[in-house]
Order: sequence, then structure tokens, then C-alpha cells
Amino acid sequence: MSGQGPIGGALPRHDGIPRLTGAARFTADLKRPGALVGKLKRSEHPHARIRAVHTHKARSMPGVHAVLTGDDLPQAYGILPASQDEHALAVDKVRFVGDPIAAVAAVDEAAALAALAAITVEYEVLPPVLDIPTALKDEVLIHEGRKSNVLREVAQDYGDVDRAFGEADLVLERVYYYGPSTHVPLEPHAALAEWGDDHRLHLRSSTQVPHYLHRILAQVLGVPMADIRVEKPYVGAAYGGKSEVFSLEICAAALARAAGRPVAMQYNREEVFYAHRGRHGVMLKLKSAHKSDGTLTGLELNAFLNTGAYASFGVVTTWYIGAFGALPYRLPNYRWRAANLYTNAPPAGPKRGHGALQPRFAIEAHLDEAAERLKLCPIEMRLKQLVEPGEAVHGGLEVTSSALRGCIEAVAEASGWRSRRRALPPGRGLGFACSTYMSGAAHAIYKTDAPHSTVAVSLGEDGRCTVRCGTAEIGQGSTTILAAVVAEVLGLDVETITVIEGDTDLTPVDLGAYSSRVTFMCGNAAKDAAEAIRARLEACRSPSSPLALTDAIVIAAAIEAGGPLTAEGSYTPPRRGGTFGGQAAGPSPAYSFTAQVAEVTVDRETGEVTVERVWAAHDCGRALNRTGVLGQIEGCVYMGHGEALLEAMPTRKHSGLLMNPSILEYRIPTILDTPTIEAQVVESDDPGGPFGAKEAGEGPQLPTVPAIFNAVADAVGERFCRVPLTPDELLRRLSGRRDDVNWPDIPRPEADERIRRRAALLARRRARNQGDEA
Amino acid sequence: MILPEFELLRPSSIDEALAQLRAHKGDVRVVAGGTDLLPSMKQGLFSPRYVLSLRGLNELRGVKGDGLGGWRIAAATTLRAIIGNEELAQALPALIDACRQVGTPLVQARATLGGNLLLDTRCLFYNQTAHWRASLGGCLKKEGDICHVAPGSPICLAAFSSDTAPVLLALSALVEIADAGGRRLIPLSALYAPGDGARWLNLARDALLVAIHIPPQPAARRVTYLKGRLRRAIDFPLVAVAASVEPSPDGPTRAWIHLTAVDTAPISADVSQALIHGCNETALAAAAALAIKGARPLGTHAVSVGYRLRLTEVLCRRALALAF
Repeated sequence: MSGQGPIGGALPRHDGIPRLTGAARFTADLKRPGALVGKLKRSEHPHARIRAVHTHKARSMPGVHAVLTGDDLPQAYGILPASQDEHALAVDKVRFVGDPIAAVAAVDEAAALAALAAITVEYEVLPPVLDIPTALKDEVLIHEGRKSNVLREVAQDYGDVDRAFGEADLVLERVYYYGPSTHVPLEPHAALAEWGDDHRLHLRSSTQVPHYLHRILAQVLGVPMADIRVEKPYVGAAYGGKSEVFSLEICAAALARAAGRPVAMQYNREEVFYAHRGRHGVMLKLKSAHKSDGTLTGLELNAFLNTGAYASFGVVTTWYIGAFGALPYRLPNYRWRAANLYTNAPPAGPKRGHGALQPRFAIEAHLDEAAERLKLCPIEMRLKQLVEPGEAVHGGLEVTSSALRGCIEAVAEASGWRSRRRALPPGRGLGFACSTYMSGAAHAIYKTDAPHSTVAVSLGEDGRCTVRCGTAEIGQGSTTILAAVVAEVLGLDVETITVIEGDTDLTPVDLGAYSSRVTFMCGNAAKDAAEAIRARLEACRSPSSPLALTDAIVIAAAIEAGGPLTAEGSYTPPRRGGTFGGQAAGPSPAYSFTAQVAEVTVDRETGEVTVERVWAAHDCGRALNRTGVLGQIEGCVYMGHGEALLEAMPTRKHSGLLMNPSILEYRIPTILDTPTIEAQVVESDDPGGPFGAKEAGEGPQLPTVPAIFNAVADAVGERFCRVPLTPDELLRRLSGRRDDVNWPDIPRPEADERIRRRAALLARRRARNQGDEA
Repeated sequence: MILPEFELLRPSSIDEALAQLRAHKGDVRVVAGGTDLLPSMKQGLFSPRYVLSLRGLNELRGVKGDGLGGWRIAAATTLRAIIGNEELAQALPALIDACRQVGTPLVQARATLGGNLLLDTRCLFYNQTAHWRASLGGCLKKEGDICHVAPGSPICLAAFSSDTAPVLLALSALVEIADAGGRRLIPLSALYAPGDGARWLNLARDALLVAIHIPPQPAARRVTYLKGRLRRAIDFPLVAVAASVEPSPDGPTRAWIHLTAVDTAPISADVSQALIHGCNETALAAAAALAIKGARPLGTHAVSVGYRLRLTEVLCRRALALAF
């Protein structure tokens, strides 16, 4: 680092001006001559067999150019190779209210809607499976090709938990429920498909994953990848909700092929709720063993997840539930079981903090209660058992850098924790929680040894530098990071850098904007490419030259000496984790850490919880763009606060109809509800990150929900185990009623023997290392 | 979502508007700000052949004081114009409080006071898209014959959720109605027909609400407004409470509570009896108990009926205490 470049500063957004002026064009803004409007006919039943779909009348209506049903798109797909269980349009069965059945393309929206109304579906209505206990019974199977409604079940044992329970001073057991929530991106999903005269498909889509979309389009449409161009225009946020392939992307392409004209599709807000892929509802039972000094000696985590009608990323979610259980604490004995179940609900998927948020809520609330029982300060208790850099935990998760201790001290100091806690007026409380999250998954979603990210950098004679990468700027700021990294290495002004991203014809492959991987992986790839160019420039300039490295004379000399100044850099994560099944979930090249304190006021008469202030400190390694990191922390706290107190996806009893598919009734917090957020960065220097950086986009959401719940417990002396906490539930409890989560008591599977063996091996190795140190 | 097709009528006088309403009676909807009507039309709740716009009627906009403490607010005056009227804010702060709590500032910029008084009744099973309602199978108020809130109910229980009605009732407001017979003033309370959420207004389809009159207030009267809701903006009320208190040096204090969102029409209660020995916790609780007697709120997907009743009771006490 030169110390004078943009890295580490407070950077303006590289794509800020067009977003502010309105010049930025989102997918739905794009107009193609002759474009038709595509619409989807959706199921009115949560679970039914399709006897027939009558489209004859719709096909003959004026203005209708194409009508498709499941028969036209028979190829199943799914974001994970392990769970290819969905179709663009239902084949044989519908599995939730909103499941797409038919697609039409017509000259305008009114004609398309009229055509939808003219399509009739003959159903054989089947009994719906609407919750986890019903799904567990397997009396009704949602996917009939499967033996049960269990999408995936995982069992892992590390150490001897039963012995830890036997030797503990405190054993604490509690059941938690984390309700489902969804992303609510400002921009609904949209796609625009067009087949060229060269018979190539050009699909523009509001997506986080152009590369995965590219692969799956080829699979479903039966077209070589080389004949498909996926382009991601400006995206108006995603939060995980656009990280796989959606019915409208495939249908737009298929309708355009059938109609011979471009087709534009956009989900309305109700359809965004049905597309969902948001946070899984999870029931969790925790049993923990503690020594009287607060040491956590053992933990048993049991979880049931509700994945809804289709798998989405659900196999990975199942693994994340347990894989992220231990970190950031030393945990010698750990046993976990998780089963992910199909139900007739809109499909869950990855939402900011994917699979880690629910167990983190439960564990942080649980530890808070343990501290209270042991009469210990929750912060001091945690400080004693943090995983330190250089250590690895279960599943081979290696901590390469951590400033968690500093984060905890920072929020304790800023919130006045030690002097103010227990000195607050009645109804006011402080709560603490901390967490960890990955900086990109160490494994792609399909098996590959190829780099996870490739970045091409070229520097022209005119001094303009072009950076190309297949990743997706979705509002999170990745364009700014790519520009800043290259500017830093080459000593360029960021204004001279053009970033081209998310276009499979123009940009080299990157896996996409998910799992908090972009800064880390694309950043490393961009640095790699820029350094190659830097080396060529340096070779053409004597060390004593007064010329800047990117002076026109130096650039010209380098091009004359070695041809065009272009270079590709790439990033492949180091191999991490075990070699047995499921160990692909959780390992990451680096982990971020967060600590938060929340202060709440509880109105004991109305049950209203006001989150007054949240102090958040985040270890993102080195902050490449301080403004961006602080913004991500604030966004995470905002979203966590919404999940803690407001956001819910209630369904109608017996029919599974989502009761609130609108942004009037699905309540995300307004600015008036949002607490004051005091965000700060506590840096570490990660050896594998670009300039030492780690993630910042998801991790800071993890502690917010438990910090708020712990603060409520501090304020009213009652603990709540159900997310979101409604004023209704709060008042019922204060008046002495309990409504605990009912745990479905069914036998859980034995752990995989290979995991036992590996755990024993790790324990021996650790003992040997400790012996060496002594 | 798109609006269904309709023909827009743009009368330039109230008489012309009334003539058009008569001509198309039953197949015309009146639009002022459109913040209530247009989303519902997009959801297919209404698909009238004609929509009559009040935009061109200047006499339907404006706030006038009579210099004696009375006010006339033309029906299509926006909430923002009311909020921004400094004299009104001085004289009737509770009305401003209520206007400021409608929707969001963006909604307030378009929504009108008349529109807020004529708000359609709302229900979780009714204010949904056409696809959603088709999945449900319709309800008593639209497309069906069953009330999903109370399956045995012979009538619709959709709630009247105006923010401004409770305060205007507390201010003893009158409404000026124009129809073929001319203009007449009726008490605001007479505009509402308690009982059925599908027929909650006493306003003929060929009549127009043209103005809200607020008479000079008794010097000692204090009116307060409190709104119960889960978020601090956007949400319709779980309960809206206006309290009015008139202490008297020589007689007992008079006090009323007016509620919306807990029934198909506003509920008003004279709670003076409970406060005869002054304002203390017991008296407030007794007054609140009187006020909520008629309340029959619906459970929402977020909170139960029991919670809404309890919240109503708490806010009644608080609104009264604030007005004392």
C-alpha cells in the first residue's frame, strides 16, 4: 500500500452519480422495440395435482403471442446440483400458493392479464403440509419421488457432550423459534429476453449471480452456454433474494423464443413475496454445559428448518445451521442435528447472514441466560472463551485473523456497559451479543477447481484503465472496491477507471455476489491482475525516474516493449474444511467478527419495544472503503432490528395463504422506527484478504437480533425465545402467561462415523500441539 | 399492477359533478387524492366505468377561519395543506396531530381530509390482490358470502380506520353535503352508519362531501389524539383514540372518547360519569372501560383481538390523562 491511494479512505460510490441522477437503467427501464409483456399464471392452492391446464382460449385472444405450460419446459433445475427439484412452470403438481403454472406473452400488460384470466386449471386438491411437525409425520409427501419430506438431515458429534453435561455446574436447556422473513429489495425481480438473428439469447436480469444464471439457462433451455449472454443491468438491491434462477428468467427466454419477439417480465410486489427465497423458519433446541466460571464446555444443538416448497440453497442452509454454531467460541464438545423439511410454503433460501442468523440468535440469547444464572457479566463470560487467530474449530473452520476482543471492548466502552448496565431506570435495558461470519464460501455451489473469481485489467495509451469482472454490483459497492483496488496498485486516480461487470459476453467468470465473497475474492483477483500490469510498468521505468508509474511515457514504453497492457488475475480459495460430506458448507478463507450492544425501552402497558440505540463494532479486516463498511453495518443493524420486532410471514391456517404479501402489511421498519446506530470499524489484518480485508456485508446483522432480545430481558426480567417478538407476546408474558415453542420430540439420527473419527484426530492433534507449546 | 380501464370525468363545478354522479349513479367513483381508491382499483376491488375527479374544483380546496373560532375546511384540501396551516395548528393542534399520522408525508401530500373521512373500511381478507382473493374464495364484502374474520357473522366486520375522524368527532365537527336537493350540514357522527362494514356511510352515491365545519370550541375543551400501531409511519391504526375533556369550575368535568379502527364505524362514548371525582388512575380506568365497551376490533396477522382491546384501553387512559 502506498498510503496515498484510495484504499482505507472514505470513498464516494463509483456508480453513485448515475444512481443519484436517475441515469442508471434498471432491467425494467430497458425498452426493446416490439417487446412483449410476459406474465405468469400462479397457483391458488398450496398443494394440488394439476389434471389439466386449458390454454386454448388464451392462445386465440387478441394480442397474445405465446402461451407456455410446464410441458414446454420439462427440464428440472435447482441452484444446487444436489437438489434439482423445481421447474419454471409447474409439472404435475403445485406446491404453494403462487407456484407458477403457465406463462403468456402479449402486446401489453392488460392483454397478458386477460390471457391469464382465460387460462383455466383443473386441480385435484391435496392436503397441504403447512408446518414442521406436520411435515415430520410424512403422511403427505410434497415431492413424491422422495422417501420423506426431509430435504436434508445432518448429524455431527465432536468430543463428548454427555460427559460435559455430567460434569457441568449448570446445564441449560431451551427451545427457540426463529420465524421466516424475506428480503424486500426495492427493485422487484425483472428480466428482458431477446433472441438475436444469430440465434443467441440475450437475457438481461436483476440478478446477483450472472454466472449461475448462465449455466442454468443453458441447462433448462437446451442451448449451449456459448449461445447465451447474461447481462446484469443496475440492480436495486437483493440481500440474497436474487441469488438463484427464477421462473421469470426462464419464462422470458422461452416466451421470446416462442413468440419471436423480445419479452419483458417483472414480478409485482406480491410475486416477489412468492418468489421469496428468504430466511428459513427454524425451531432450535439448545442444551448447554457450563462451569461455574462461565466456561462453555458443551453444546447440543437440535434444529428443524422449514425450507418451503422447493430446496433452493436449503441443503447448504442445513449445514450452516450447525457449522456456524460454535464460532466465535472455543467449544470442546459439540453435538448437532439439523433437518430441513419441505412444506407447502413459498420456498425459503439465502437471506443476509444465511443460515447463521437463526443459531446465532439462539446461542447468544442462551449464553446471556447462562451468564445471568451464574451471576456473571455476559461480556466477561464471553471474553474468556473466544477463538483466537490461528485456531480452528469443528468442521475445519480456521480463524486467520480476529479483532473480536477489540470489537467487544469498543462496544462495551461506547455503550457505557460496565457503569450503566443494571443502573438504568425500570423498563430500560442493555443487551450484548457477538458473532462471526464467512468472507466467501471456500467452495462453489457446483464441483469445480476453477478460480472463483477472475478479473481482467487493461490500461490504454490514453491512460484509461478498464476493469472487467463477472461479479454483480447489486448496490453493495463492489464496483467501488474493484476500482479502488486497481487504483491503489497502479497509483491511478479512481476517476480514470471504468468498471465493467456482470455481463457474460464481456466479463470473465466470477461466481457472483453472495456469501460475502466479493471484496475478498474479486478484490484478490483484481489485485492480482493489477500487480501484473504494475510489474510490466515498473520494468519500463528506472527506479530513479521522476515519472509516475502510469505516466503516458511509461505506459507507451510498456506497450511498445511487450504489447497491450492487459492482464487477468484470479482467485482460488485455499482448500479448507474436512473431506467428508457437507464439509463444503461453512469453511471460508477468512471470518469477520462483530460485537453489538443494544439499548431498549419497553412500555409495559402497550408491550411496545423501542430500540433506542445500537452500538456496533465490526472487524472487516482492513476497511478498504470506510464509508461502505459503515453503511453495511448500519444496513445490517436496520435489517436485524426489523427481523427482531416486526417482520413476519404468517400464513392462513389450513390453506397456507401468505397473509401479508405487500409492503403495507409486511412491515419493514421506517426511519422513525430505526434506532440510532453507532457503527465503528475495528480493524485486523487478514493474511489472505486483499490488503488485509474481510467481509462486511452480512456479518454485522448476526448479533442485532439477540442483542435486542437480551436487552429486553434486561429491561423486563423475562426471556423471550420467539422471533419476532410482538407486543402481544410481550404483554401476555408480563401478565404471567407463557407460550413456549412446542418441540416435536422425535428421535434424531446418529452422527456420521467419519465425523467422529475426524473429530478424534483433531483432538489428538490439538493435544499434541499443546504439548509442543509446553 | 395496472388500473382497470375507466372513463375519467372532470367536472368544473360542483353542480356539474353532481349531475354526472346522478347520471352514472352506481357506476362511478369519486377520486380526490386517490391514495385510498387507486390501490384498491389496482387490486380489482372496484372497477367502475367512470371515475370522477375533483381536481378541477377549486372551491373544494382551502381552509377558512370565520374569525370567531370556527373553521371551514373544504373537503379536497390535502392533509399537507392542513398540516402547514399555522393558524389552524395553533387553534386545533389535535387535528394536526391526526393528519400528521396518516400514512407518510408522501401520502399526506395527496390525501385529502374528505377522503380520510370517507375511507373505505379495511380488512386483512379484503385489501388484497385479485389473485389472493381468488385463492381465499372471496369474502362477505367482495366476491363471496363468508366473513373470514368471524365465519358465523351475517355482516361484514371490516374496520373503519380513519385517523382524522376521532379528532373531528371530538371537535363536534359538521359535514357539508351537496346533492340534488342543495347543501346541508349534518353532524359528522351522522355520516357513519354503525353495524355493517360493507355499508358504513350515510352518503348517497349521488351526493358529495364538500366541506368540514368545525364550530368554535368551548374555551376549556382540550382534545388529544393517540394512535396505536406497530410502526411509527405508514401503518393504518390498530386503534385511533381522541379524547376531549371540558373541565368546568362550577360543575362536573365533561369528557368523551372517540375511537376508530376497532369497529365498522367510529365509536363515541361519554365518559364524564367515570371522572366525576376527578382524574386519577381508577377514574381513568373506569372511563376507558366505558369507552371500549362497544369496541370489537379484529385480530390481525400480527396481533390478537385481546391485544388490540388492551391497547385501546391503555391509549384511552393516556389520551384522557393528556387532555386533563
